[in-house]
Amino acid sequence: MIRLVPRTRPSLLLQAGTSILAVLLTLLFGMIMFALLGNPPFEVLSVFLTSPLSSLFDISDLLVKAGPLILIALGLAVGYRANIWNIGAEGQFLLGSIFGMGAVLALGNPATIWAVPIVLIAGAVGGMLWAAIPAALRTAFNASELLTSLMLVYVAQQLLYFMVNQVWKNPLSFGWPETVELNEALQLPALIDGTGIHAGLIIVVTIAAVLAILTFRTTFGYRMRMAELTPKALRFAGFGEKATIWISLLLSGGLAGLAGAIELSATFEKLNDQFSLGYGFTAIIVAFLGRLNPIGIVLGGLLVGFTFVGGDWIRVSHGINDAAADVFQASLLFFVLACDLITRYRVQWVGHGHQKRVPAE
Amino acid sequence: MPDAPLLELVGITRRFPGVLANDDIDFAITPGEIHALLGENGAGKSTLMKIIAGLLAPDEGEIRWRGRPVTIRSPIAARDLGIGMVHQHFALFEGLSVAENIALSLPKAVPGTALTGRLNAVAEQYGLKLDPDAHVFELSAGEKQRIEIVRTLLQEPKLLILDEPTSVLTPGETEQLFDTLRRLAADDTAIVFISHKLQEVRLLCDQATILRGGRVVAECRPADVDAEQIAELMLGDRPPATERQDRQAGATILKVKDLELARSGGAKPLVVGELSLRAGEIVGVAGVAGNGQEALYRTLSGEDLAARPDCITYNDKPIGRSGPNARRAAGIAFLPEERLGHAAVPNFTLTDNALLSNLIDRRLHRRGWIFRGRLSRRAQDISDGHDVRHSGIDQLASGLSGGNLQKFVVGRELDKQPACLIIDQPTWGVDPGAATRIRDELQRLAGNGAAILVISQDLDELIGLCDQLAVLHDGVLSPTRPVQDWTIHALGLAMTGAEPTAPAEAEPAPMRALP
Repeated sequence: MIRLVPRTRPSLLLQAGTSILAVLLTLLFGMIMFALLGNPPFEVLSVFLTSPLSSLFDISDLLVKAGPLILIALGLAVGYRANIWNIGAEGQFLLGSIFGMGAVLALGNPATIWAVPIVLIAGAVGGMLWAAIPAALRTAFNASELLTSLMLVYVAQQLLYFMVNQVWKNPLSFGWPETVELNEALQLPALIDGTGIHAGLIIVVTIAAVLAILTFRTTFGYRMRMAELTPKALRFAGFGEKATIWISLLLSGGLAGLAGAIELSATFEKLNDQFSLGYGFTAIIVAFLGRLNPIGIVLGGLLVGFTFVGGDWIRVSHGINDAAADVFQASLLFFVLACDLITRYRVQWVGHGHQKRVPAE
Repeated sequence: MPDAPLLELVGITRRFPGVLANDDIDFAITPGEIHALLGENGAGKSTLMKIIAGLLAPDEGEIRWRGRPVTIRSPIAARDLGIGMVHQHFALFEGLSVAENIALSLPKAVPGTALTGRLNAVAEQYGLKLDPDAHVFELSAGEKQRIEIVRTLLQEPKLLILDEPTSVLTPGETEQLFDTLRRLAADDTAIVFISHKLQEVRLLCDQATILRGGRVVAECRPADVDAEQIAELMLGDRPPATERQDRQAGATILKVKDLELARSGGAKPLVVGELSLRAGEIVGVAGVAGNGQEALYRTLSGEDLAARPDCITYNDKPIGRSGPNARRAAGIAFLPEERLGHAAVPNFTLTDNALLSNLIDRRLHRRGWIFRGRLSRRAQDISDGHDVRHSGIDQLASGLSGGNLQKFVVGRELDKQPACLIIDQPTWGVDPGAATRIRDELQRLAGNGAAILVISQDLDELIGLCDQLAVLHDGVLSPTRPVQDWTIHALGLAMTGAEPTAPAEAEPAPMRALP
């Protein structure tokens, strides 16, 4: 029989160790799956593991994909710590890009870099407004934010299709559902010439650092850390539960919206119906991979960015189909959550017939 | 008794660190008997039932099933013998239907139609009306309990244990439950009925065993004995308070008047006519768990707000609608019953927990920026000053023993030297050493002129500690009276809500009191 004994002391080493274990198990699982699909497992794995770091172009691709994942996950983690389950970051991300584009068009697509902050702020506001809907429904009617935030993703997608097909459709796009391109001055500049590594990544790193400090050194972070099923302790400390719901949803929505605006300005440079790669959903994996810790999330985002690039490579090099590549990525979340058990409990083997002891109440 | 016992316990003893939970207990029940197990909180009822249900092993003693000695290693082994237990707290999936919940509890998969058939048969036989397709979340507490009973009955138990089954039921539902239990007993099922409510026990049970302090103090036929006698046996002889120090009561500091607060779960609202806390005085609130203690605590701490500000006044200022931190700023400290999850965050370190009730303390943070060094020193000071034993202040609160964590959270409040302290179950589940220490500290605080309210289920504690006592029953707080004006008699009746028996049937049957 197995017995689980709660650990009395948090161990950073152990948390890092189990994350690595989760990655190893994912790789093992992937090899078995690739072998069953009739591909040479070691060869596929070798392409998967080496190609993302094989050239400056690939590294840049990795960083560009990790950026929005990290930014969104940083916001989500704040809510998850407080047991607020915003899983609709994808919708907030799309609203951020729509509001960003709206700001660009409202300003007349100006040729000045000084409009960029306005575009980014508009994106953050868009994400916040979208996240405010689940917050209002939760605080007013106790509707689960898990459901409402998720359902709003589909509304956001339809809104995007409507905007790019009807309202903002570029008449010169040969019928493609897309807007005009942003003026070059509005595109976040590359940090290294010839790569996609852009100034938006500096924003991501700065926000990660700020959130790390906020989380561990301020009463705001204290409140948000006071999470996981302790609403009574929250009241005891004098914090309102509703305020916590609002703060975490607005923060996660705002950061997802900001990520959408950064993607618009730095990567896509226009709005189209293919705008998202599912960053809002993948960021949930990143948040847990990083143990809801800002620094962990930066590392987790880089790792998932790595699997994105590696996944693209094995699709091309060995013709692994999209579904299998997605299952491989999703298995990472599964193993992360499974290994999480080890960080919170010690596993003890108990001989058969040994009596379980339950402390008296 | 003509019948041979179905289950017999002989000399059962079970120790926990610092506590003798069951001390040489003998107990027997025959088929078809409804047997009450009575006692205060902490008398050892739960431990004894956990031993029967295979959740705990006895340190000494023998369990006999139909006369044969057995060892019950697990709940599954208990079930295989024919022992079923309906717990006080339901373990149901809210989103699933009644039938699905029942199917999940069965050892083997049963096809849906066969299950519905069996369900209906059991339901009809024992008057347990249930709609198999209803979702659990739409059901009342009584209906949920019926699911628990039905799924236990599907295993065809010979012995059914019910832990405080009526605590969540309305009077009508209680009637229905009793009807079911009588039918079960008529079919030769033995039933152990754990309760605090003497009236119910007298209505339902053939036999009663009374526990106090882990020992059997009496056995009786409840119908033949008056409620007062049972209450007295449950509570025991209390020696007059000797440890109480002499104090001089001063001016009224906190006053509650005409307060009414709704309680969740269909319980009657909390009603406080009048309650005054005076400087240098300890007021105790006695009562059995679940009678409104938490609501009383929450309304005094500001975690739940009163209807009007002037329901609660502090130094004549209305604070009924002020939150916890506004009340703390005024000089009130409070400590809830639940250590982990309310008074402390389980997955926070002791350092972080030192901040929990100190968020208004400008020495520990300024404009939200926490001074980690000062906070660590505070946590260290609390630990040193109140004998908290731990392996470092970076230890998680969940890793401390109950007694040590309680000393920590009590110390956290006492170190603020509050003018008024509201404390709910100060020593509940704490080892005797820590309990004595906490009581001494409360006495010292009162001696220094603070007004203290102690809510407790431990009568010895209240009698030893308090100057004034009130009783909370079914949400209603009685007027306070000096502790020496209360007799054990009066306390027992007020706490159990028992009516004195009518003179006509007041011929008390002989009671077999044990030494």
